[in-house]
Amino acid sequence: MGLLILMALNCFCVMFLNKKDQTVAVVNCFGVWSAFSLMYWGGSGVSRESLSELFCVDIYSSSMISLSLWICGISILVSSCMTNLRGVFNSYLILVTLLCFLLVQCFMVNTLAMFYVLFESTLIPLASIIGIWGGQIERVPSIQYMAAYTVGGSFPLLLIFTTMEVHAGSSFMWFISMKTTSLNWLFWGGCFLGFLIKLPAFPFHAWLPKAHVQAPVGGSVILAGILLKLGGYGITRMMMLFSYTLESFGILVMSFSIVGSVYGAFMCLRQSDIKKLIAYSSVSHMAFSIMGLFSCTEVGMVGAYIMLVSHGFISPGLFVLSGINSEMVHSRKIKVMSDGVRAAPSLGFFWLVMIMANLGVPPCPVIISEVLSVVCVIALYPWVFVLLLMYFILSGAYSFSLYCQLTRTKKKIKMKVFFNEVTLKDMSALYFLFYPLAEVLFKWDLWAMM
Amino acid sequence: MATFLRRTCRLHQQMSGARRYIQRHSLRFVSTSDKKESNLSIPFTPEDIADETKRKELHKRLEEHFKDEDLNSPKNRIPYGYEENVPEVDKFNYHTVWWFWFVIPVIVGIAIFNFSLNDYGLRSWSEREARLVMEEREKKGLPYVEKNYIDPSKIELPSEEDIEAWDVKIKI
Repeated sequence: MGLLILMALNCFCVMFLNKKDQTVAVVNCFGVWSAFSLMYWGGSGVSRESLSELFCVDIYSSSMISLSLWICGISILVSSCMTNLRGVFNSYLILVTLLCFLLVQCFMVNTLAMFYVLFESTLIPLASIIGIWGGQIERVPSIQYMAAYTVGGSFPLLLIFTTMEVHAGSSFMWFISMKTTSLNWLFWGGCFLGFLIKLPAFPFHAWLPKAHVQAPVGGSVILAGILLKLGGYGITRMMMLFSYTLESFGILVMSFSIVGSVYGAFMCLRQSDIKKLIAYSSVSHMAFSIMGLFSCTEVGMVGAYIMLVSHGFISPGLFVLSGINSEMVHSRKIKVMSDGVRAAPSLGFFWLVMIMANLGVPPCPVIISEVLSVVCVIALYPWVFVLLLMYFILSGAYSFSLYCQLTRTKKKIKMKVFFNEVTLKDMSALYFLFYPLAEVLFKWDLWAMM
Repeated sequence: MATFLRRTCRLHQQMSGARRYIQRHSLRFVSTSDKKESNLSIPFTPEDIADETKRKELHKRLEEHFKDEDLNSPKNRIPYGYEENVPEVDKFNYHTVWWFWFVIPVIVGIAIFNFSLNDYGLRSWSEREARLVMEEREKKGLPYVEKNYIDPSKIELPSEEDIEAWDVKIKI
């Protein structure tokens, strides 16, 4: 609650500043809020500082809250190229701050009804951001896809939450405990479909590449950095209600995820549009977190959350880089972007670092997550190792191919590129997205249940 | 027939080339950047850097152009990216962003992770406590863990009629 009050007070103070100073002031406020939210990470179980009538925060919530605040601040920092596009930039600040406010509450709230309302309400600011500041006319169908998938998938969840509330007499999620003996697959599907679409899980991923391609840089950063993680957090809370006993439904979802990881990596290999490539890479990475979550084991939960948090930093970093690079050459084609890398060689270094982090090269925490998730899956069915081996080969292949295309393509197009288009502000944003991974690496066992 | 096939192949090659040309040039969007091309005195292309002789020529042109330049003059300033027109505001914003996004989170983060999250989940405590209990039980000659750790008389098991309706799965 203190965090929300601090956010409201800071926003009120920022309103009285000069229009030009408001951007940097809001960015700095997000940094302060992120530092403040680290207080909620104290101790095992529920955080004492967060307890109130409406809110209750444990390690899963607090990590997502800190990630939300960090990523929303970064999205404003990197969105300077949107100042001259349609709409007023200050309305972008308001939309992002509102979205962050809703996200923080969504991760803090302790009732199922409020969680559902906040889960759905995060769609509105994002759709507005894509609709107002998106690049092309295709942004309208992309918003339609995103809204249809999200709302359609989560409508059964509303019915289930209503039933649970009537049955239990309360929607306080920490008290509800459902027996799983007489539940059918329709019920399981209704419970988890909305979150699986949000993550996104194969085969419900079709909306993500469209949304990412049409979204502006800041919108892609928020979508990849935190909005996808809403699905993982929702799955964690639903599994808490069922005491982590999913049995055969969990095995079905894990099977789809394994196929989805290979599918995502294969689709990355054949992409020429950088944003679509990063979107499909998100699909294959989120498959690992789904495997970890639905394994219903402590090791799986740790692996899933390490992936969720690490991916929340790395994927926005890739989108920031693609935004910088594509802004230089006015194209999202990878081979064309190589001209930008040739003109500003520092971009080549940043691309290498981010691609390696995305691939899971140690000491990036992604490798820990992949190992833990693989351990969970192989413990159930050892022959799955064949598919996972395919995934690792394909992910290495597309990462290597991406780096080579960006840095080693023979010049085909004559293009004028100005090296002063890569500002220190953008480099700072990349650094701010990379250094928190050290924190994830050193405290990777925080998400183990007691 | 052969002539027809030859002409079709040639046409297909031309179409593919045209398609590749269109694909390459169709994915451009309007730059939303505020930067004007006229700001830079000597525009260059990436081939000027990639080719060694052209790179040397460019280097000579740049040295010739900038030989009398004062490096500290305002027009040669490299902005941080926050404010193009006022250098003091630009520098101030750069420093404030680094203060609020690096210095404060690192200090607060290290403080919290070392003091508040120290021994997260009481793991170190539990290991110490286990060793102390083990030493104590060794001195008394007791086993580390008793067979009946929980008193069997306090355990309530379900009856056979209750278990009949349940699907019991035993995983080994």
